[in-house]
Amino acid sequence: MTETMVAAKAAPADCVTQSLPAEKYGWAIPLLLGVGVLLAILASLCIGAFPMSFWQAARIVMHLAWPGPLPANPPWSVKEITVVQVIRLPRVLLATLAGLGLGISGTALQGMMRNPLVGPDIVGVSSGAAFGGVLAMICDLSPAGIIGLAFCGGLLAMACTFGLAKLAEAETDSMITVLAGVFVGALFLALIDLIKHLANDAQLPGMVFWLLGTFVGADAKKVAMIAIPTLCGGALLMTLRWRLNLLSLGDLDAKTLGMNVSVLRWLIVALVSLIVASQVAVSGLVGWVGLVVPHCARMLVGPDHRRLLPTAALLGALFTLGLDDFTRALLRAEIPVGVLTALVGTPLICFLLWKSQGKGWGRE
Amino acid sequence: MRQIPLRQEFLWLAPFLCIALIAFGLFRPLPHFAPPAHSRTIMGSDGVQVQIALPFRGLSLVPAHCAACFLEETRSPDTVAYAGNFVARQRFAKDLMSQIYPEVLKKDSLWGSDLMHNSMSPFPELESLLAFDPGVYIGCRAPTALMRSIGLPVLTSGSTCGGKQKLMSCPGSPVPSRWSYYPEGPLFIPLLVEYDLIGHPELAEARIASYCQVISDLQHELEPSTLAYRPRVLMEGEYKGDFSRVGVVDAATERRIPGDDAERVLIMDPDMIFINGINTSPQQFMNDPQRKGLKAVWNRRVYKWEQGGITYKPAGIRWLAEIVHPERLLPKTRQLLRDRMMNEFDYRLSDEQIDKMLHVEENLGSAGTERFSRNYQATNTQRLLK
Repeated sequence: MTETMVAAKAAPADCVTQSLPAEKYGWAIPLLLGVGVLLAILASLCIGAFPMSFWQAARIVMHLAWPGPLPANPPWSVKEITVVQVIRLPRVLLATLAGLGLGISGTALQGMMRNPLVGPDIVGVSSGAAFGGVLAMICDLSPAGIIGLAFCGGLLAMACTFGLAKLAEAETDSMITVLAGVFVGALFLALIDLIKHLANDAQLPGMVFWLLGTFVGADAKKVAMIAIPTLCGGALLMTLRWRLNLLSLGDLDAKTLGMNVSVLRWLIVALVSLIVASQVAVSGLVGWVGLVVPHCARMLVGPDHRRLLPTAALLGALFTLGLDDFTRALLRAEIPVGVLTALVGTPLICFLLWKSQGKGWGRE
Repeated sequence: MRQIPLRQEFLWLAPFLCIALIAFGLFRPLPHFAPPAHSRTIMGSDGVQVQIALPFRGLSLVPAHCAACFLEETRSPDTVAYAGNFVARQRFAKDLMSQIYPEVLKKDSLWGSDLMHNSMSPFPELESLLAFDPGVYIGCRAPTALMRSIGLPVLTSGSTCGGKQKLMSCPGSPVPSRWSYYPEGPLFIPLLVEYDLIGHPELAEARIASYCQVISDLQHELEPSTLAYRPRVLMEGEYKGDFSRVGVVDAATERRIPGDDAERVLIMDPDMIFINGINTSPQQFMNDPQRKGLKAVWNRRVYKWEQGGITYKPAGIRWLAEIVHPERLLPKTRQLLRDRMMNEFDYRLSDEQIDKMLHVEENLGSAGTERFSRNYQATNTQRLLK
């Protein structure tokens, strides 16, 4: 079976009909999205109280990113580089990386479980990571401790979800796995509420605001905390793109083709947990991105994970960055981005549901 | 579906590499503002010395710093270059200081209405601060460490800045072992720092002396050490101090019962209850079925009371003492308040303003508050003197 046949077989009926742009434009879509993300990053640096032109922001970013010392007599003022390097760029990168991680994680989960209803927040990994995060906060752990416990929480939640599905002897039934994820997610949300109840007056406001999902207070350390797991985990997921295509065929077919399905499944779970945990640790619960973005990406480039994974990642980055810019520039208020992703994501998924008319992975 | 050439397949790496490179850029050394050529050094309340550029370019009140508090403490509206965002402006408009210094409220440039964000984050605010270019930034809730790390002069003036309470009291008063029982630190420390900043440290000493004089006069008039009856009182709200000065016993400390929920208050059963800093009126409190069994509620000894700043607080303490021991003190609170505002700000308070500050209307249903009404003093002073 060739790669293209595998991808074609993995494609649901509606996606095949809707993947025409992918056939026509090939890699142009992910590439255009890549350029779009970079331009969006630069444009986002122009939003704020301090006046900053696009070209000045681009020039500063170019010099910051380019290896080697900064010019001795730079064509920018100390205030301008402060605004870019200290205030805006960390937040913009945090939003970009959070969306990127959620987009790629959601796509990998949906591909692995062959279920379009799956997302990091549906299978409980976000709730588990958030539980780990608040547990670390109440124990006054360091940022590294927060990400460590968030990762353990995410992994524990995923293990519980799959364990529960296995107990029900329906490990391969994606619907049962989703149900198990909902139960596990509810348990971890209850544990989060318990910790909020136990938190003192100094800890509680920060905890609540963090749980709503926010990019406020971004700095270089937080960017490092999310960038390393997201970019490394994302790269590893990309190396599994062929296997994800095979896994999309179903466990039986994948096993027939010589894959160790169980090991692969756990590897993907661990990588997704790592990425989502790092996102939750630095910016709280940002829901819906991992569920909605893969659908949009699939409509653009089809079901082939070689294109789908980078497209979903870049689309996720554009989605969260756009929402963060919207809240900063237009609303002029720090509405938690987790609230906005839910407000935008819900109608979007309803639209996709209406557009697909119930076709696709939901029906065999 | 076509075969994807290997060369194309790795093109997706490009944007990810770019993002990684940009992220690496954040780890370059932070930019640094050059120290001023001419400066003087001021020590903040957290013990950190800050260089203030000369000539003085004015100050910015960084997020969450209270513009009204600063003006009450320093009476220097001309030194402010930036007073806060539009939320701070709305808050300032409700304060008495906005009537004393209406020019501060009216001046748009001080509030930067076109730049501000209604933000919970200090970072957008920090951008705005950079746009104003003042000589110094005041406040400790902002990202002080970050601002200092890039060379910005951030001066802290609050008594709690730096994480440790500073203990202060009037000369002659015992040095407090617990700050909350002689809470002069929050009043005196900002005065000392801010007057030093604007170049008149002697004015801080004068205002502290004036404050302490009023407290001392009250002590002489009340003579708390000779009091035979000391009612047990409970403060519902933020304020926890100054009980010994007004001749009362703190019901919460006496029984060592922490917290002030309904059951604990029932166990304490104080003689009087003062509501401070919370949005509940005495009437609401007394009508609450959970509070009906309290002695203070039967006797209508529940009052709304305000702590206030350096100007108001002596009058507030006198108000407290007059309510508790009316037999020993003449009704002078209204006059004291009027005099202090006149002396400190050259501002004559109207009767309505005094009524509002003393919560006269809210306390009407409580026992013994008639003496604070505007017509009481004129008709009863002679009788009380006899």
